[in-house]
Amino acid sequence: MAKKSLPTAPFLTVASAPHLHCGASIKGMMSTILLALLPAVIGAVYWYGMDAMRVMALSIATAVIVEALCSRIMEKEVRVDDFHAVVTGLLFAFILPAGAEWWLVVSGSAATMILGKMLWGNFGGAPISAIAVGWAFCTVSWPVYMNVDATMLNTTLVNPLSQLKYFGIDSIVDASMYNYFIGDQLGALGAVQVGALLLGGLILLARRVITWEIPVATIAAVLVVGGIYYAIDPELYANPLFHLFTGSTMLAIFFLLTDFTSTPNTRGGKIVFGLMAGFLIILIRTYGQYADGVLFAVLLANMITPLCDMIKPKPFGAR
Amino acid sequence: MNKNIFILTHGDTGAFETGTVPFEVRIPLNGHGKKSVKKKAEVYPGLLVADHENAKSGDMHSGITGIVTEVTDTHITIKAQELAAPAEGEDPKPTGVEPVALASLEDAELQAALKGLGVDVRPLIKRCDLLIVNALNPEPGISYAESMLVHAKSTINAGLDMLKRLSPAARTVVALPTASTATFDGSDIAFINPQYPNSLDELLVANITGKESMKGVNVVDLHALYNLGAVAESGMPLTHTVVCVEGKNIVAPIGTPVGALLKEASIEVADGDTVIVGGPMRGEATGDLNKGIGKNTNALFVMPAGSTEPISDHACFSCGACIEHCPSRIQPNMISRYVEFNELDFCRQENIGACMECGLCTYYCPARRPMLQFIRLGKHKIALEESQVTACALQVEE
Repeated sequence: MAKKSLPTAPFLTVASAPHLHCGASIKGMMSTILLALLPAVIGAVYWYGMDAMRVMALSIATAVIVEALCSRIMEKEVRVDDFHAVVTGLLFAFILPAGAEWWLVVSGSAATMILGKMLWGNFGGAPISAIAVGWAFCTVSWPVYMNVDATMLNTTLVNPLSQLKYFGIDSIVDASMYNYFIGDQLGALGAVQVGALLLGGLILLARRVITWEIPVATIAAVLVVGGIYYAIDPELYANPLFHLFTGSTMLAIFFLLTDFTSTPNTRGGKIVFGLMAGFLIILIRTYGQYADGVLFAVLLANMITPLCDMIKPKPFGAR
Repeated sequence: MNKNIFILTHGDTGAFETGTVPFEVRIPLNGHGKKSVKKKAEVYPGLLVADHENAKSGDMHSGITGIVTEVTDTHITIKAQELAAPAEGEDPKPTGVEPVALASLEDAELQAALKGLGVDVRPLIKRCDLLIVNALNPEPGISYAESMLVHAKSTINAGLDMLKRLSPAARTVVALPTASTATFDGSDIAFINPQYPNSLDELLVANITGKESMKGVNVVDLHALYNLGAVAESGMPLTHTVVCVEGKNIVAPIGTPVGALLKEASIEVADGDTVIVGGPMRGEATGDLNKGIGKNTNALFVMPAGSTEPISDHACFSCGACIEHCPSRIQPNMISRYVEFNELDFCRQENIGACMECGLCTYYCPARRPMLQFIRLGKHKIALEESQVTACALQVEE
């Protein structure tokens, strides 16, 4: 009698609180990052043509396949459908010269995936930026093939960082910041699409995939430290805006330094981390052996991430 | 990502609906030792059905007329039906209970009388200097608070007067949502931004006193105050309570099955849906539509199947979304990892105790990790460990 009064009991799902969710997912975040990278992809194809397309496609394909294989070997769930491998592969392609040899792209992308991500478990384990790992691997192993000036001989574009390094400040005095901004400079195929990357970074900020602390702190550090050098001797050191608009700086600010796993989580930590990275970028460019030291700055800044994570607010109610 | 779902005011001040009498009630018991009724006993509204041996935990009473069909340790089931007319020559059977005159009672007697009427006295008499009435809707989606302040004003006032008699507090503050026009004689008023998680007791206290400590402060929520007011006003046992069923506020007998209430609000439940007893942020999902609501049940929600991503076992990838939104300023990402690997000392180091279990970390987690569950598990394990340590220490002393 009692049971008849209720409809036949449905088979309910039992879940743990909270039962609401904001809807964010890893796949969604990665899709947003891909969307944010799209302007730079278009810029790269515009400036470097199908060469750039070739490198990007090869790098992405390698990254996805390597991740799937590694997951299989490690007997883990294959999660390539979250697009993280696509993002990593694309970002790795961004720091290669458009004329990179196919084996360089494949081995670099594979090293990025294996050394930078899968060796640390799965997505979420890596203490250093995978792209910086792959870049360091390739740059140390095949410096000539990674050198944009050596591999891009058939282009009319000029690498401002090499100019500054080898020909001094005079060679870049009449350079236009606007040209740099639209990508009219020689460099890694995606990293020099400064305006496009800035647009992508703003998309990420607007969609709240990344927070403002790291980009703002890094830009501030680049401008302040670069400004100090510029103030000391404008005849010897470049304008701080020059550092912001050349090489991989913009890529690092919005896409590499804001990598989730290898950067601090707390607000204070993020700010210190960003300041450190910006400081290192200028320092390596000024005194280092590499013309564009941004990726090393990323690697080194990742080293202090655990220290930055110690900067945290007092918990609620703590004296 | 709709931010407005965290706003706790709904502008709804309509009267409560009175639910139809359910065909049966399942009165939930919580350690009530002595059952005053046996199977097949005839009961009527207000009749004592179970007694709690603790002097401060409320007794349970029947809310409907009917026959007891089941008595277990966890609940008493009463089937609603008209009682048979008394046989000839017998005295007419009682159909209700006499109200208790609470006005003339003092201290211990008053507490005993309230316990007998079904009120849990312990949370009301906590030693404190400041008493705060939390008049905000506790969670997003729950909408009884504003209606209660307007149309159940007399009940609330009766409850507040009774609360002042019970509580040793020197000062009373009523925390209202901003722009509320409610007034209370003899109590201060504080306006709180009606946005979740500001309705949590800890944040409310911090907001009002400026100190992040619950020491010397007692917080009573509006739902409990309404229950107390209903008893204080009538002197009758607590048999009904307000439940917000998906935004519809229904006064229902305690023990009404969840399924009956959902039917009342014309909500269909299908296979795979999640039925939540309590708010959507902190409530518990139930697998049984026959489960009866308790005195403290303030809301029921149904999440249709597929409306949210299921919880996953994905590893944390340190995006920091939980840290960004945590009102306790702790690191839920680290704590959940430590709990996963049973590193309780690290949990303490990360101040797991400061967590106020608002559920925002899980709400924002893109990897859909069950953070709140991990934190609750960690707290439970720590409590267990500490109780074992105490037990060992006591043995050594002997």
